[in-house]
Amino acid sequence: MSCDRFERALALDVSGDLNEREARALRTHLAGCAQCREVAARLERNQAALRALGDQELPEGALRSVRARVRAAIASEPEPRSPLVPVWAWAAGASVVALVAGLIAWGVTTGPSGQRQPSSAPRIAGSEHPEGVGLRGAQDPVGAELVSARSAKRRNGPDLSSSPVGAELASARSREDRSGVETLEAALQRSEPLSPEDADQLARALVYVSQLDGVPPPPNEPDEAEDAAKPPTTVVRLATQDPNVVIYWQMDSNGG
Amino acid sequence: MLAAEWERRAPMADERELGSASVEPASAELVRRAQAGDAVAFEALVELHERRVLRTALRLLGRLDLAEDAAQETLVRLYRSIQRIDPARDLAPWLYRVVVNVSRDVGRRAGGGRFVPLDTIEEGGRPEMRVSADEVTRPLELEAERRLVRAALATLPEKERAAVVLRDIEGLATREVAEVLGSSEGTVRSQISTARVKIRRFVEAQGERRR
Repeated sequence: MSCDRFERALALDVSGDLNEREARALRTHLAGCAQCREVAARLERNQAALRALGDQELPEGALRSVRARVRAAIASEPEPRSPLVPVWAWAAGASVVALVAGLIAWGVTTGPSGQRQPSSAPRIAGSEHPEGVGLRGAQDPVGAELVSARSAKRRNGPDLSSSPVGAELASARSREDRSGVETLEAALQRSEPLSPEDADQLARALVYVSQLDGVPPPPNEPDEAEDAAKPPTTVVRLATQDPNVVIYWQMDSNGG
Repeated sequence: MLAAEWERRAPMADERELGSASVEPASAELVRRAQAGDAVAFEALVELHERRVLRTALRLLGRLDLAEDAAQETLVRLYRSIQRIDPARDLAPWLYRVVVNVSRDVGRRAGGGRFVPLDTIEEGGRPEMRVSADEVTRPLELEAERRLVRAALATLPEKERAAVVLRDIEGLATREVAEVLGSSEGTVRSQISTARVKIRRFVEAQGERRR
């Protein structure tokens, strides 16, 4: 055709995709060009046929087939996981709860006849401990270990190797795997049994698993967003009876 | 939900009017419930969107058997991703993007670069191009025109076909098509105009050939 330069404009005009200036120029041309009017009519017919394809009924058997196949496929899929708090984080929290419960049980069963004698020192020896507060400071090996680990973390460049628990924490942080919780638990269980008083204090401990600075949910993006989604940082907070004694245990996205 | 119960349930109304900016309340609620582990809600979500997914895959792939594969894969991906879906946002663009990507992969596995060969369109490869002599000796009726247009779609490159299917068959706005395809509006406008010109020429040529 001699009006090639208008063909694309005609193709956009059938769906109103021209701006005002383009549309005005096209109208002017169409008024004097029968050939382009014929092309426009053909494009309109094609457009109607395309729209009709969207109205066509799909075979009901095909929809039933898709439903059945989807149902069968997801039956073998694992339960979709929430990205907000990964499963391993809940497992870590559960392990800490189990740890506390285990220590309580251990302390109660070994109680007065255990190797350790109940301490006469005050339960919270804030003035005696360089941290100001603590879980009985140096008189209690477990408490000292935990305080030591916390102090080391505050220094942000800790030498934790002098403490068995601290060493386990450092080891857990440095590892890529997610077995740090279990390893810490094992270390604590290897330490001396608790006195009934210690057990009593631990029994009052509350365990929180919370999310730091909640990561906003990603937009509804397919595959790329799935790949890019990272587990959020999670912190386990051990809060004791004393509001001044709080132990934070931060886990990075790898579980370390 | 038992399969039989699912089958018995009356079909739900098929999706909102395309191009609407609002999120369909029913879909949003179903997403929330599915995220909470409600399997019935997920199946209802499938029912709500399955026509759209299968229809788009069929127009992209041209064959029902391949379209079923693509629709299945798309809806299974929805299941896997359900926790990442924001119920406050429209699900349709997400589904369109996935079904376009999946259809591209299915089409490539089935037949190389093109979605389907020109002469094997629709219904498991049944020839689609037959237009009776009667139909070609008079102005093409809509059904004949529709068949030719469907055949013409099969000749388009993937991106042009996807743009036309989303814009002209699914009724999305050019801006929405651009979002789904990850392109600019200008690119989509160009793809659409080029594709429509090709379709017109194809239909015209086929009509001439039959005369």
